[in-house]
Amino acid sequence: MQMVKNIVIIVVVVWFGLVAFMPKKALYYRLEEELAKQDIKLNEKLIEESLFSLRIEGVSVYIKGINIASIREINLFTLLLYSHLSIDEVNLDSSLGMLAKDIGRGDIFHSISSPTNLVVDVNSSIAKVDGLVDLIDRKVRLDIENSPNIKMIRPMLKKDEKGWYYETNF
Amino acid sequence: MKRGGIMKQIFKPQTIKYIWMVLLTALIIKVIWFIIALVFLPTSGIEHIEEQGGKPLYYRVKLSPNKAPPPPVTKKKQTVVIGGDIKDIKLLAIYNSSDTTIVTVEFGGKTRVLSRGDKVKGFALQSATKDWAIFLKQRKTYKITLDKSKSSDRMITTSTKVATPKTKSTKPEGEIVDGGKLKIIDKSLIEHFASNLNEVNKNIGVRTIKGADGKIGFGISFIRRGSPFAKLGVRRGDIIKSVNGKKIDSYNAAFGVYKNIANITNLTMVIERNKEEMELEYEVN
Repeated sequence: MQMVKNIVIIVVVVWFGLVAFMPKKALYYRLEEELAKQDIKLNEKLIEESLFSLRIEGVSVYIKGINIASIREINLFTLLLYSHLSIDEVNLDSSLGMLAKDIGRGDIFHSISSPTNLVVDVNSSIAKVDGLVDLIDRKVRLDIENSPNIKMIRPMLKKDEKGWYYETNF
Repeated sequence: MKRGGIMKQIFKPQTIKYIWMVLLTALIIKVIWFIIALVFLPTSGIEHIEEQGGKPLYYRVKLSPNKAPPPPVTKKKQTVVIGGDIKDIKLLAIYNSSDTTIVTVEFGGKTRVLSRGDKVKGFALQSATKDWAIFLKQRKTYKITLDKSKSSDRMITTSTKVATPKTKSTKPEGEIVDGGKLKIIDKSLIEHFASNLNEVNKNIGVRTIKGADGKIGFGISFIRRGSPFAKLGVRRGDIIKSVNGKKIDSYNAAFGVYKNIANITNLTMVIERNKEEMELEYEVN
């Protein structure tokens, strides 16, 4: 019994230590480095690290040096066993000439109950999007709700019995 | 008695052992994270530095206090003189379509209707927009602005409508006037295309050309006939080398120019045509 108690205490302390002492800002910089290899750069106004979360404000997204979008806030909340990444107010650059400039909000969830998958939920002005990212097969499938606004992205979409969807590998 | 009991419980060797165990584990994790951060993780992020695209090479400055005579070189150059030199001629109305340009002018109390090439006082009508007309005399170009006070109740409004029927609200207004070496672009036209990338793509095609050094170039793949881009002087097959002295050898550079195009008043573009470089000059008015 004493042994079990010790193991439980150690596991809890290790878990708390891993999450709380995680160098979230440095890990974010590492992510930036990896994205930069793909010609994607993120400029941010503020990075705030706390016990269980990382908040990034005023993010400008550059792809091949072109300012594609701006994001008001990205918030990563992690307990390791459950993580939630929320992306608020994504605005596409007006010079892209896209019909919808305000994409809205996106959420990505990861849970220990399905460790190999990420769940994607996007509420945008174009359409509502639900999707799954398979980390093992490196596949993304996004089911897109049919709406008149998807007309401009329809050439990139496929259709099956469930409706329109976007599929890609990474 | 009770307080003494709690203190006794805290200082129990078993509890102290647990506290030490927790603190030590936390410290070990902290040290591990610290080493990972120190060895494997960067201490600062990667920032994209925005380049200032399409900065004008020069600015037109009027130095009025300078009483010195103008240098002789300027006489040889084609210059656009606003009104002044031919101020006796008043522009009353303009009819402008893709193939016809007719203006009504007044001079010496008489009114005359001129088509492209017609002369008045030696000034030959060259081209016109909805707001002004360009005349040519002795290889010099002159710009006369429409006298709106006199033309408000004349045919100008109807003629403009006939010339540019409104099919869609997205149709750009404004003209590009060929003033010899210098082409004058209406600002409204620039503003329209600066905010409508799709419209640009419909009218002009730009393809990327990859060089051996990994740098890219931008070539003109098509220009829609009758579009404002057809009047810019560029042709299919031309390669854009630089804009206002800035080399166009990356997506960043090209998009930088596009994003700042609405703020540019003078534009010098170097293109490569048939393996020869040539310079095109534009003024945004």
